[in-house]
Amino acid sequence: MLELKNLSKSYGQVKAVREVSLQIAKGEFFCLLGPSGCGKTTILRMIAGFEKVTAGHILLDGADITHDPPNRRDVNTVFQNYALFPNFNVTDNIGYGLKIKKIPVKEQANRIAEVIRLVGLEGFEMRMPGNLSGGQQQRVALARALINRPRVLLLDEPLSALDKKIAEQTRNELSELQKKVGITFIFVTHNQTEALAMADRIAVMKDGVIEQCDHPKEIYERPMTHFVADFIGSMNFFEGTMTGIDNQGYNITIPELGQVVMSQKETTPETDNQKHTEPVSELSTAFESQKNTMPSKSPVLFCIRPERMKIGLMAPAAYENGLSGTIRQKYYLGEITKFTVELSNKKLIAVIAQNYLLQLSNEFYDIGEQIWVTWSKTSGEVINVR
Amino acid sequence: MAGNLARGNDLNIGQGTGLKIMTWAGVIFLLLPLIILIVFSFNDSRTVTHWEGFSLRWYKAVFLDDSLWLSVKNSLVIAIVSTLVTTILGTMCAMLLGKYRFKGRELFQNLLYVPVILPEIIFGVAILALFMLIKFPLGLISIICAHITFSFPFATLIILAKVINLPPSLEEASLDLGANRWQTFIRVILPNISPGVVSGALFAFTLSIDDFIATFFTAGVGSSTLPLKIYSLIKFGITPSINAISTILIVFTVTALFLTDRLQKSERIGRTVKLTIGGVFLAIILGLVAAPFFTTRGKKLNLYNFSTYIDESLIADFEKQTGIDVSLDYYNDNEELLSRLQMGVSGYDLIWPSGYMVKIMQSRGLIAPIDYRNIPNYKYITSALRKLSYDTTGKYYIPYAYGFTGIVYNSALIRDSVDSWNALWDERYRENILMLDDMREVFWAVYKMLGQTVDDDTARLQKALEMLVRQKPLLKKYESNATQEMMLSGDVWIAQTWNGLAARLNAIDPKFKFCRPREGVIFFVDNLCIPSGAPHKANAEKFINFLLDPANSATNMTTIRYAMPNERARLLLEPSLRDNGIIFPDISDVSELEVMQDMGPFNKKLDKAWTELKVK
Repeated sequence: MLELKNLSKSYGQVKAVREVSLQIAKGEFFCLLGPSGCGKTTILRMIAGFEKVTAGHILLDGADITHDPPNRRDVNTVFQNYALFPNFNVTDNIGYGLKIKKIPVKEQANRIAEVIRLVGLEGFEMRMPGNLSGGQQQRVALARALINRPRVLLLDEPLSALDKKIAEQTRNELSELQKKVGITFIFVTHNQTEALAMADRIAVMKDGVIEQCDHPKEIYERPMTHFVADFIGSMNFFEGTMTGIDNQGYNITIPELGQVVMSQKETTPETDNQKHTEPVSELSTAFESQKNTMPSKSPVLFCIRPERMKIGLMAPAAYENGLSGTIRQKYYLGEITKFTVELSNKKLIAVIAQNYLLQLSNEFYDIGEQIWVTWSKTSGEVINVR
Repeated sequence: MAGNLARGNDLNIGQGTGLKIMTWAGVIFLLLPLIILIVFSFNDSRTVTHWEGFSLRWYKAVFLDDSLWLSVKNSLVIAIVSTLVTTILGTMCAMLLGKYRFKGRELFQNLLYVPVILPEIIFGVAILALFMLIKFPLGLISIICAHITFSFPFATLIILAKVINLPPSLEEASLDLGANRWQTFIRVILPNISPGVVSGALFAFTLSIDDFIATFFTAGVGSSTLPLKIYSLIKFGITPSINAISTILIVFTVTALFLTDRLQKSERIGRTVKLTIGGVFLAIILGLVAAPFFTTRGKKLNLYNFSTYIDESLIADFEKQTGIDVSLDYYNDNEELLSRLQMGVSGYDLIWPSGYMVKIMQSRGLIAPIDYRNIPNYKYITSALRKLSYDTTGKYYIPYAYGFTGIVYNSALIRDSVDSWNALWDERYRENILMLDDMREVFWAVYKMLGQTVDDDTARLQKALEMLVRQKPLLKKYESNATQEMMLSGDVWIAQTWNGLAARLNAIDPKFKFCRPREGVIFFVDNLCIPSGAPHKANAEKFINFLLDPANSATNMTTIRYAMPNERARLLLEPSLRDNGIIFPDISDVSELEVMQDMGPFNKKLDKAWTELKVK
């Protein structure tokens, strides 16, 4: 288990990381997600030992490694630009760590062959890094780190330099590989899709602070802060006031909507996250904790994702909230169509419709058309505005 | 994709005929001098410009010349050691500048440019001053230090370019994979900056092997390098032996480069083999450097002479007889000798200054009195030359050889008999006249021609200057070093020169005749002197005694073809030499013998007039 305790990093007056605490379980695929400059890479580099820690501690399986040099840490890194040694061929790059550790030559050969098979680089053993494609280089970098069987593998935006198709393919392979080797992965990215697709847990960072740390589904569906809600996916925001809260849900007054009732969602945990029983128990208390921190009459943000909304000619039903508006823009994007709707108070919101559903129901809407935007009362999230 | 876009072949970029011609012209321009040099090293002639058939005689001459090989060895040892140290220091410095941020970094990097920009002569003087201040002995080590100092910034800047381009993540990756900093440096950083390191090393080697100025200032006893040696040889005419030694050097360098390249690239040659070759190479170099320290037998003698002004077989004989280890260095003129001694270059036991220089040196306390009790053979020295005007006590010098300046001419081209300095003003020989590039010789000749004695009189000096200004358009040039060369090639018909050189020309071809102008000539006497503080004074006296032995003196005269004031020795010479009027002028009446001397304050006026003449 890797544990960060109040980890901080300052560059002169600039605080890159502020008192970050995290616990990452053995075998977990953990993702640090955030825009550039949020401190995610700095955390990774502190774990690897490339950056000196300003304050706080790093514990690996209980041992304090905060001040150990990089070569004494049982941690390996896959670099963003792969950092393959240009003077060595694929085999020598991969075998570098074993050679340094003076592993017997025969065992070296066996382990190299094994890891080459694992990442699917058979036939490229003698190539020089300059003669490999981006994807192949990435595999070499991965193999070079994995062969040392580290307790934690750090990956610094390893997919960002790849073409979209190859990145997607590699993403899947990486997930599978992680399950196969069972090593803790800490993955740094600014790409939310990668994070959502691969991670067991995601920590969303902003300005050196973790805004929210949770399972991908929770991050997406129950963002706790305006930033998380905005950064992950797309979101429509409405400013409002909390007018009532009880065990059934919230009552919120929003200028555009008037009174909005929001039912509490079921909190049954997802089954595919079974192995993380601990974090899941935190999940069910989310509503409870929010309830306690949001007193009546406090300003809140109501947010709802565009794909949760529906465009139609019908006024909202009893189990729905709804707004009327005019379609101003319409983009056909293949599997979906994206609408921009202007509400009566001139506010613009985004609505996404699945094209196949539109076609099924034979519903086609055009720019300028007056429509209703509706959504279920169980949809949407309330965020406390501090 | 980018490669395809940049290919540009359809536009015929770089395919134009004009560009091709320019390129080849450039290549030829660069290489032509080298090709000429190599071709003429096989020339069976003394001249560099006339082909007279294939011959290996100059190679033979080079291989038999021990002092030349000593200088080659010195050059190589200095170049290799300074290159090794420079490369290591340069790499360290480049790593420091390229990878770390520290206070004063900018300043340090800018200071690196100082030796690059600074004229080397200033650097040479500065480093000499430093060596003198800390009493650092001048020799191989001091030259190596100087070479490291000036080539280190070049190497650093070249290597730095590579270090800056090295992604820091490579180093991090290596550390991350368990390597410590040293392993990271050896396995990752060094191989990736090696092109820079190799170019830095080659640059340092090149700078070192052909450096003249800094070497000149920091050289000490027995540490003459090839460039210094070649320069001192030029004084006596460029012979094709210089071409031969240059060709050998070119072949050596190109082969070394080629082999290094092959060794680097070859996959088949194992690491151990490479290491062994490197190790053996290193051991040889270290051996060469260390050898002088072990072979010092305590009995030494350091000579400092003009080049080709002693029969070197005599030195070998002396070594055999006495077991004293003799080293011989060369200077080019009296002024150089003076400046070296004044710089404080100590360690020389015997020097060969001309008369006027003896006076200067004695007045500055640079030479010590000689103890004649240790030199029994002094009795053979002609008494006429024992107490000359420049040292009337006769304690500080022993006359070595003497001669005078006259006129040599090519009788095949000049039919009239020449008997006067006026011949050098003859319109018919326009552009084919040579005067010595030496202010004293030139003015003295004019004074003689005008029938005057040299004294501190401005009006007479002005008159002499006018004569010379009138002569200047007729001259080929002022030249002291290539007289023989230019006479042989026929570029010059008539030249002011020393009698010994004329005798040598006459021996090569009797058409070169010598004239002792009737108006009179100026004699020079070169002397043996012992510098103050000479470390092996007793050995020097022993050597003087050896040289004055009539048999040895005769051998010496036969080789250098200048007269020595040793009557017994002259009797031992071959008749053709003994009775040669060119070599042995009549000095029976010493009162008529005007010896060139130091003019004291008049020197300044003379110097001004000479400069005026040269710039006109």
